[in-house]
Amino acid sequence: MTRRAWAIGLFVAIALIIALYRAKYGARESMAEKAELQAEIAQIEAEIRVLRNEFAHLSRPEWIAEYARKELGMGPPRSDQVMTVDELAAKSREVAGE
Amino acid sequence: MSDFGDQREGPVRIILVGAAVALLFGAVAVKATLNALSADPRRPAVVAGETARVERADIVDRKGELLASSIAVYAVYADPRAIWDADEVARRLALVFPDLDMAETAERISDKSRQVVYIRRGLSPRERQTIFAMGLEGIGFEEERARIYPRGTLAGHVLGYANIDGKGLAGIEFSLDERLLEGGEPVRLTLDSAVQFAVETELAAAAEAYDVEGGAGIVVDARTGDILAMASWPAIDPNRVPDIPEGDPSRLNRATGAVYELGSVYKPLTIAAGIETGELTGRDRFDLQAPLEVAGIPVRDTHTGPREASATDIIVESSNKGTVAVALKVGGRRLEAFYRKAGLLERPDIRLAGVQGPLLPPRWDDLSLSRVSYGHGLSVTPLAFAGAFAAFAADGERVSLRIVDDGRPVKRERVMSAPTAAIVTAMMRGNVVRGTGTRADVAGYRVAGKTGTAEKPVAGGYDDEVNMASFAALFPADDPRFVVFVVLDDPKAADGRGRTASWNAAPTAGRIIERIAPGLGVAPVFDVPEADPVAFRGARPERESAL
Repeated sequence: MTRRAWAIGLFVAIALIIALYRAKYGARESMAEKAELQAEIAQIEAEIRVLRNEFAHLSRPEWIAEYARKELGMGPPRSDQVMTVDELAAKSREVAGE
Repeated sequence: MSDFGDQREGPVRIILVGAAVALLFGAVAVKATLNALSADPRRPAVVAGETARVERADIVDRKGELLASSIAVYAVYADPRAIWDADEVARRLALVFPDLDMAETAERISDKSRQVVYIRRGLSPRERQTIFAMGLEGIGFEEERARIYPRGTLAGHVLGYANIDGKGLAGIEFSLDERLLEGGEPVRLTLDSAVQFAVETELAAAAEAYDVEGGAGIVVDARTGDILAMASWPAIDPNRVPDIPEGDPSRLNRATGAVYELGSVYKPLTIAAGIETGELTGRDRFDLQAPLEVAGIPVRDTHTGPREASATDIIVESSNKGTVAVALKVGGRRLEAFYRKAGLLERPDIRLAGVQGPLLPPRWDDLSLSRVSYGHGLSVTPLAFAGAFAAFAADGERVSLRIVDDGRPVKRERVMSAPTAAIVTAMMRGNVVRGTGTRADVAGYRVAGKTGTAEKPVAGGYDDEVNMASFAALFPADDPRFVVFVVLDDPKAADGRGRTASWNAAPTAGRIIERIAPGLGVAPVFDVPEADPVAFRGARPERESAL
């Protein structure tokens, strides 16, 4: 009886030690994984920030205006070149009627 | 020891050991539980390799388009002690930086007495990666933060700039420095990038066409007080501020950082004061050919006006005499009160650094009164004048201007009655249709406005060869909402073209309106009958003037 109790007690003690060890190092691994993910997120956020700035730079109005002028022959509309959607529909009907 | 004693000790030992082990694990469990319950959530349980950095907040326009941001940049340095072939390293670096002085760089990175030799700062991540991929000996990188303005000169004066330590030094960067340092959500301005670009482009074109010394352009939504555009010429690129010498003309924001006598653009305000006080009615007529003196000093017009001029004629002809006659009837006390309600006698209250306050006349006697009535003797910023003028487009209310979209409530103050605002707006439409402002007219957009040509003050008087030319416009005249104000400093005459505002500031304002109107939801309407602005009897005949 005494020997069995000692064996059980020893087994329980070892099991508890192993569990504690796994808990501690498991937590440490999780924290490391979390830090790694956070660093990755920060890196991606930094890349997004750079891309947003690149987009803002590439879409700056003077570049678009110059491209529109040189490549498409377009410029700011005169007042007689502006039409509402309703006016466009009426104009289309008028042209179709001709 | 008896067998009976051994049999009793065994179970006792088991109990004692078991209790000790249980106590031990119980202590660990209790401690772990206490730690979990009392842990400070602000303090990380595991210290990360680097503390999280708070990025300076972005600045965006009203539509969320990026105007200012912070990014990681890199400095590339060399450790001479780890470099064997300095010439080869310099040659390879020159492939990335064509302007690099190879000989000078090779000499610097050969100095074994130094541990760190900086080669270049402000590298983009792409440049860093390119150099990194070369695998050069003795080359390292240091991460830095840089404030960049991806749209260059767009709204440069409004944005201001931040120094290398991320501290705001001018403009919005300075006035909202604390808010920007908190990071998080971007700071949203009321500016509309498309409108801002149109104003800046036309201002630059005017600067070249009329050979000006400087200029400013402002667009305001009079109903909300939102500043949709604020431009100053010459423009400034906040990315290049460190390279711009102190005192360079481009550093001055002429819309807010300088005050000017603006001339005849004040006449609509004086006429409005006359109507509002009941001193001016639609039946009144003024002899613009008769001489007029105030305190022994003659008041002159640039051209001869009619003998039976109405209030509309005073605006259309831009008559100093007619305006002074009205101002004298209103009186100094009431005109000053009117201008004060219009916001002309105090610094505009907007969240932008460097806004100047007005230069006021020392007293409002008849002489000062007469001069102030047509825009001399009172110097204000273009922004302040635009804010006052906007009352015509807001049914007579002055809505406090704002450049930051921060959700704060705007202040409204009644400057004049809605009928008075409508009457004077119609007069200004007359000025554009047949007066000094015809070159501001744009078919379909019903522009109303007033020119202003003021001699610039010099020591001892005024220089009649140098003008401040301005045009204050609002559109569409039949339901006004938007104000455009253009100021040009010292525009020059040319063959077939004078240097008064009707030749330069007026057409510039017209071109701006034609570009921005569709984007602001103002559709052109043709064949609109013009209302007869002379047909008014008085704005408030039934009650006493609030002045």
